[in-house]
Amino acid sequence: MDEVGRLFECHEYFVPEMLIAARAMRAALEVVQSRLTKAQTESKGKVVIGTVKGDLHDIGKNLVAAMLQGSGYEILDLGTDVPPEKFVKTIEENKANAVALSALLTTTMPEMKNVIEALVKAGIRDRVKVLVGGAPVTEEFAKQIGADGYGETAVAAVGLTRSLVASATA
Amino acid sequence: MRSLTSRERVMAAMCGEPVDRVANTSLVKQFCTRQLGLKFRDYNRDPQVLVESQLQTYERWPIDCFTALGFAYREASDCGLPLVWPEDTVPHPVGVLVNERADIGRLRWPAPWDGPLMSARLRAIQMFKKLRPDVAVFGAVEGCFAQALTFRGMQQAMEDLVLEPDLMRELMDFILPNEIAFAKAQVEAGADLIFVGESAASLVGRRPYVDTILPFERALIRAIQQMGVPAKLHICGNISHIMHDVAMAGADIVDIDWMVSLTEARKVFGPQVCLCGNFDPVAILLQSTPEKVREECRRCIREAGTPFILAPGCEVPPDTPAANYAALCETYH
Repeated sequence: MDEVGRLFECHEYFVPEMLIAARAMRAALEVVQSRLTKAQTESKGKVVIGTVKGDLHDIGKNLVAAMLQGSGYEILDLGTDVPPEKFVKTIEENKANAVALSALLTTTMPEMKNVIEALVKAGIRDRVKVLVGGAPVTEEFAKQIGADGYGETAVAAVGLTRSLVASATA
Repeated sequence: MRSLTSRERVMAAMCGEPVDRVANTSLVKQFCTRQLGLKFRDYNRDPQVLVESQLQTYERWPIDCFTALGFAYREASDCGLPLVWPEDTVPHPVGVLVNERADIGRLRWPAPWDGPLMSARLRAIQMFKKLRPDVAVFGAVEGCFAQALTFRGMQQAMEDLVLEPDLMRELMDFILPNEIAFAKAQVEAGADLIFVGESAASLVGRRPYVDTILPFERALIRAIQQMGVPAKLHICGNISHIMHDVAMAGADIVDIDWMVSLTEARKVFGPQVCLCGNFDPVAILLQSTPEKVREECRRCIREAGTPFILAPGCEVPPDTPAANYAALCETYH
């Protein structure tokens, strides 16, 4: 998937090719994973991912999940239209390192802030890195709501996760 | 020069003829209902609500068009795609119409006046024309690729585009004459222009765009033009990698989203095509200030040359501050 990301960055691959690659990767992992030792399958961290409450657009979220999985992270994909309390519960139960929030609509973007507030209320905000992304989301918006990072593309989200999770575990 | 009506202004601007001020055809939908405290579900199902809310928004902040569009699944719903209707946001489909290739042969597309949601748009166009014939009325159809994404499901259709392009062509072969029929009914109802929504075409590479999407776009646009009205092509997102090919679609007006330089777009589309755009609707309109909106409007006018129509790169966000929208609706020269 690193190579897929590289091809995406240099405009040789676009969304259809990334989706096909992601499906191939998942199929391959199903075959390979059972034959690997525990050491060989050790993840780089756990990432909870989902589209925020009210948002059902999941192509971007699926691409980020696939790219992260391909880069060695364990993905807890909550799907679409995820309420803040479900993000909180999953992060707590799985001791996740990061949460990636996706929104395609300007009307659902504010839900990202609600998730961050729910993390604060649950007392776990400092234990998890929050990444945000989606077509209307901007770096400035990410800063405004107190997210740790903004990924403009699925590839950027992988680099961001890598640096955020590494800095938190260093 | 004499003051033009909104309709005259749009038609003159589109052809690069002199205008009394820059035409503005910002796409307002949910913004109208938010301002008036109405439900977006009603806006999309009841033409009376759509027309009333656009009229009231127009009275407060005049622009140069009414748009009889609200969401992307109107035709697909009339073909049998179940929708969930949240009270105050866009409806969304449940499932798909084409699970396997054989389903294409089983699809049934009602005549435009027989489909509840298609006929609602037709009635909205008739009402606009009756109440305000001085304002341009934009009808709308989905582009064949956008419609295929809905019929097949976005993820599967994106994969099909590369792995099974013949399946996509077969599906779009079914869609094309039906979208043409819907466009024709809208023109007969009084639409001055047809908006072709090809929202996700920017997400694909040049080869599938040219080989599979463009021929259908071109055919749909040509058919609309043969009805005697202009076609406006709207592709969301960054089209830089396919811009020369988009120019081959032959649209009279091309919406340019904010990621694309208007200066570069003018070089590609030349002096015959009307460009429409293009500042960032989120960072500028939703999140910035009236002064910044004015600054961006002036930049767009400066960079685009003519023919040109002013609008944000995509829909006016529903929660746009009124002062920012007012700044967009000011008179620009």
